[in-house]
Amino acid sequence: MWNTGSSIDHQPYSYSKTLAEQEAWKIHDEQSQWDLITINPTLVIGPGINPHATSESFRLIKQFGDGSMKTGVPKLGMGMVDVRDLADAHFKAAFTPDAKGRYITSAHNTDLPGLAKTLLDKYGDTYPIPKRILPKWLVWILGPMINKAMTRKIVLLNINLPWKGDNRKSIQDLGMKYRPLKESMNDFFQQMIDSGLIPSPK
Amino acid sequence: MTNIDKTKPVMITGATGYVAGWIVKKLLTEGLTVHAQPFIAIMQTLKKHPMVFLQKKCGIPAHRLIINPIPIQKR
Repeated sequence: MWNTGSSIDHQPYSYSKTLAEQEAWKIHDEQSQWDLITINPTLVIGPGINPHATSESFRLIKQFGDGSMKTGVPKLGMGMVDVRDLADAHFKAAFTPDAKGRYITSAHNTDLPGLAKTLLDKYGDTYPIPKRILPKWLVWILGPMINKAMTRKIVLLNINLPWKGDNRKSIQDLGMKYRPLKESMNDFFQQMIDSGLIPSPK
Repeated sequence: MTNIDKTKPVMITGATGYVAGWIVKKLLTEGLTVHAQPFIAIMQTLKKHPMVFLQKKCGIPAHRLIINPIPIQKR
């Protein structure tokens, strides 16, 4: 099953990933010397081997702690996977002889408020973690002004709608075990506090 | 059905990155030999990079993490 909803104008990031993977399978199918397995992760979070990695994931979760999202977050659905589990999936895919094809590698179906909520127990009193859900109409109006990638079409088709990914193939074929969402989020957040990426609260 | 020989080296692209960094660690701790080819510009930060740390801290022998820096081509 392929992403057929994205295009150069609508969700071009997803579109680029789709085209790249399709090209990889095309190259694979034209030869018989090597095998291909693809690992398709959702939003990757968790501490980095390098605490100052340049990744969109760092940018997003940092905003949960530095106050940029203190007024709230839209209910944007997404899947998430811990970077350590994702590395494990790559290893298992390579060394499981029966592994085959494409693997959705995702631990949990969640959304932005759901991700933020996991931080409240430990950090809610000291850091400006977003607690409110921004209404869809407000995101529709302001979204494109704040973030060029957040088009009105994306708002209409994604905000307040559930996001579902099926990770069963990764569990059955590769024996994947996914750690809890809260553990990934808290380990990640703590690393960003320790490395100074998230400034200490006033 | 593909069996990969664990005594053969593994090439990892993007080894200094977020995801591949953990893949390098996993392979090294499982006893494999890893070849990485970071850009020279990244090498300067790599001296302090936890991957190099890993060699000492986890007792990974240096010959199992082979770093071949590549220059960025001038256009």
